[in-house]
Amino acid sequence: MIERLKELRGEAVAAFDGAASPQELEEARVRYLGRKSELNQASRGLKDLPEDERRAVGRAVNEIKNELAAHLTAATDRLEAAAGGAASSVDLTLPGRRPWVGGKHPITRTLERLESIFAGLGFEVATGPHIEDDFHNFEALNIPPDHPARDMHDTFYIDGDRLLRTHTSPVQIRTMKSRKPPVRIIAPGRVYRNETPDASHGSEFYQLEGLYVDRGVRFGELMGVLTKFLGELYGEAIAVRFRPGFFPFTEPSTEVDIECRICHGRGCPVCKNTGWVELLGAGMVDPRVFEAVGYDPDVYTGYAFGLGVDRIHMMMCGVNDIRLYHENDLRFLRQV
Amino acid sequence: MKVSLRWLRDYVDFDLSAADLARRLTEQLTETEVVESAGSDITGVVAAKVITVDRHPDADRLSVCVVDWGAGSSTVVCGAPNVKPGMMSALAVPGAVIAGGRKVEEVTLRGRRSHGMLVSARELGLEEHSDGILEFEAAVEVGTDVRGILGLDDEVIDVDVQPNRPDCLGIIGIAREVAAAVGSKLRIPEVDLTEVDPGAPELAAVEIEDVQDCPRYIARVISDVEIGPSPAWLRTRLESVGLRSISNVVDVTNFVMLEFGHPIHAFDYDTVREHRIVVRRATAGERLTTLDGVERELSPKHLLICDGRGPVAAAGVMGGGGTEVGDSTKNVLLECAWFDPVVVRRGAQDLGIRTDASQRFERGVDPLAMELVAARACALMNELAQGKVARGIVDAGSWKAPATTIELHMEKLESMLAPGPPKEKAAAELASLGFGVSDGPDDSLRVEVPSFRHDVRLEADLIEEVARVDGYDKIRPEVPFHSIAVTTDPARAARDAVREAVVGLGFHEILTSSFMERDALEKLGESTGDEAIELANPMNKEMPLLRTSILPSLLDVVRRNANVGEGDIRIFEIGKVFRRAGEGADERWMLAGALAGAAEPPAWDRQARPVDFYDGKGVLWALGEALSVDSLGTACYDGSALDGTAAARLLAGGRDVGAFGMLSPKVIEARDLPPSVFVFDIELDPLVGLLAATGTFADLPRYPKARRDVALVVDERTSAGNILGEIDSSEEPLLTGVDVFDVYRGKQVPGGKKSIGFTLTYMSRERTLTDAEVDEAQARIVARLVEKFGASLRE
Repeated sequence: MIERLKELRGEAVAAFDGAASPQELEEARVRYLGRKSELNQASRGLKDLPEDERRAVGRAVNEIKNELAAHLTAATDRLEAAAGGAASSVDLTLPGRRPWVGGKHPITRTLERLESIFAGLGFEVATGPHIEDDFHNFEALNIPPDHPARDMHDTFYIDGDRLLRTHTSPVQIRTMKSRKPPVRIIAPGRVYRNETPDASHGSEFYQLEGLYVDRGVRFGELMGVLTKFLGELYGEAIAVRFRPGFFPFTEPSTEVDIECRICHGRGCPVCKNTGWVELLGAGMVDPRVFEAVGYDPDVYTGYAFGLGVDRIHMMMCGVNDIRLYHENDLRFLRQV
Repeated sequence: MKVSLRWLRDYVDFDLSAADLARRLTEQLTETEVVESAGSDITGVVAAKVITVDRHPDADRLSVCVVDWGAGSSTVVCGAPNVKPGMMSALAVPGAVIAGGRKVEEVTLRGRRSHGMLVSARELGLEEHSDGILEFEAAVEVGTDVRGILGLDDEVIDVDVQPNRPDCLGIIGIAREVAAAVGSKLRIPEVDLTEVDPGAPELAAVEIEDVQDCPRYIARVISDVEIGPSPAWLRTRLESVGLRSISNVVDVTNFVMLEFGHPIHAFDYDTVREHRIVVRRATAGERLTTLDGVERELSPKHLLICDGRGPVAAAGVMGGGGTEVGDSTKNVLLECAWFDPVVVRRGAQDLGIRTDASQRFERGVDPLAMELVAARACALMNELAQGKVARGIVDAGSWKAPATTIELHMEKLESMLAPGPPKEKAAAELASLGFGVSDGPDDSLRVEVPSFRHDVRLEADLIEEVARVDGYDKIRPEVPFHSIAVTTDPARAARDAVREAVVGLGFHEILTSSFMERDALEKLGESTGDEAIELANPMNKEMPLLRTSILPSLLDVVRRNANVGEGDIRIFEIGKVFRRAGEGADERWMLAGALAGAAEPPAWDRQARPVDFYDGKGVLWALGEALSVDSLGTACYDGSALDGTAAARLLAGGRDVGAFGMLSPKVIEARDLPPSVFVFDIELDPLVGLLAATGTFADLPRYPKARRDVALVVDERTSAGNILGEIDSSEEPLLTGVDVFDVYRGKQVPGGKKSIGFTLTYMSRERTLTDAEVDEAQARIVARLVEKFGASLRE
């Protein structure tokens, strides 16, 4: 009996493993594992066997059934795989169903980055109107009417007194007029210049202005804070240069350069072979500005700085035309 | 301001290359770069002596010459009429490069070999026209590179002079900075003038109508000038900084202006009627033809220089044609004046011209240098044009700059520049810039500001002078810790939250112009009204208004993207719009967006479906959910930009905050937009109050929900909203939510009817509901709907 069962097992394993089609496999299954199969009959006939033989045969029948079931499963899988995947299987290489993917404008992302760095340095965001008046945009910032410094700002006028802000500096004035020192703010936002746009100048662009006023604020703090900021933005190793500049509302004034990121200071067309690229204007608040907002210049000192947000992003991503930021071509927005 | 290094060395000694000088000035004064100089590409041209000149046997106009150029003699063929034996000229040897990058080769001219070429000033890029070959006046050594002789090996830097430093619009001003930078001494030219009688006051008169406009006017007279070309050194000086040489007298005025930064003007004395100068404002409609040949109409805002009869120059801006110095000029009246900066600035602005003179006057020239400047010009006219300088000056007005003295406290200097230079060093640095420095009280310096530095008025200005000469790199950077509470503006935070949410819904943020066409809204079928604010001086005359709506520019972005094949569009902008508000302006934050093209991204197992109303409305309600604004509603849309059958006003918290819907087919057609576009235009500020900063926690439900579906067949007119409202007003306590799961029209319902399927959700927070109580509640609601809407149940 046991011998026969072993024979059966050998035949069945060969039939299952050798089945070339699902039909062949099904026939083999019916023959060796079906209701009328010899194995099944053997298990049904167990009760007629003598006690000691019954136990041995029963164990053998079960072992063989389990073994054959495993071979059947493996054969089924093998045939399905050979058929190139049945309806129920997943082709991992087909593209998935995507949802729409959006994104913030690169200017917004840059602003967020700048704001978060300055938040870490203790600066609070302040805002102001885009439509300004001559006092806040110019006079309070020590740019009197008919001063040649006005040539630095091609201005859009609405009427005699009202204009579109040419920089975010009027927010300084508004903030200082409404608060007592210490004041520590940044003012991000859109500004307007009446100049024909080209690859490096827009008529509408974004600035971020910073201001800190307190007792005993020093020039070295301005340098320290800006060096820290530029290190956060471009990596600690970036070389920073402070050189004299002119802004009517700061004294001393400075223009801040970073080492050209294209040539790493060796000189290239982007930095006009100087190795440096101008990024910020800054300085110690001119006492005349403090007088205009009612702060005592003998008590308080402070610093202010400003930067072009578009420019920061251009330097970061190698964008070569500032006008791209306002064309809103989706191919551009997805890229940067 | 372009500065030739060779010229600069007339006033200061320095041992720096052009690049190093530019860097040093950049670090001390202002951005300075090295520029290409005119003759930098010329090579292989040397001084050569013409030994013999013979007629070319086969060409009348050509000569065959033997020239000695140091390294040997060569035979060259020359076509210049002025070639003669013994003259010293310039030879371009074979292989030389002359102006315009032209290479000189050996050539055969009418059978004679020419080993090089004798060159003219034009061929070296010095002049636009030349009549013959170059002839050197002074004895030069044969074989010397002509770049050295002509100053073509000079280097030029360009200094970006800032508006506060008019003194640096003169080379002496730059030289003073260089002297301070390298620690050498500034040399101001000394004038040794030979004067003749009769004195100038006998030859001319000057009257100033208003000394506010012109505090001082000096005139000098130079007679018997011989107008002619300037000597090479003067031509080279002017050309090195980009000016053209005109004649000796005119060149002197330009040279002195560039030297001192003070513009002067030469009139042809004999054309100045009555030999009298009157400085006065123009009368309305008065006319003057300026040197550029343009007849200009003037008004009282212009300051004029007149002679005894009428205008001869626009003061400080440009001379007039009638008194111009020309070839026939015999006598010169020289003007050196100080005009009010604002008057000059306004006048030049009004005329729409900006000249070397106006640029300097409007920044303020040095009032104390006037006599020296005028004398310098006279001396040069005497030297170069043999003019006789009449004794003395005609002097009108008497203005001198008030002397400014400032105390610079070392304590202040140290606290600002920590550590700051020691007192002696600071004093030396200021003195090197021309400040008068002496000890002041209480550890301070008493600093007298020179008349050419009227930008320095306060102690802070002096601190800057010290800081920049000492070097910004001497200041110790520090990042002190300051504790200041930082607050956040809730409106700004709300805008940021809205932006995050919209981006999360798959939208790209755009930023468009604040300007708008005059008829931008009319093109959308809406009206601009009189609320729009107009610019007085728009850059683009087509876009004179500040936008009152983002939609026009938003739709432009839709069109442009669709035109480049990016037709599946989900974009939005958060930006300001502007309106008149009484005397002032109202600036309001808006959220505007558009969907166009496919409703869903393409996939391999679904058909592309164009965006429709429900896609857009779904976005807005999802946005509401993301922001926890659950009180959104709609009201009737009455505008024209949107399709009236698929558009609505948006209500939030019961307040009208904007509109949304499909763009009207008319607008799509007129604006050349893709076929189906959904837009929304929502005011953001009212939403700020609705944005709950934090939610309030309630225990999570512990018992399961039960759902029941019902499909109602109702009249076409009955809206889903009516039914939802009715369900809501049933106030069944166990009902927690309703959704629409199906809308059906077709064979299975009668004509004029539709079926709407609702899923109602029931839940209790206390226990598990029984089927029976849920069924009862459902039955009550259904009965109510059947009665209210005449609905029947769809099986």
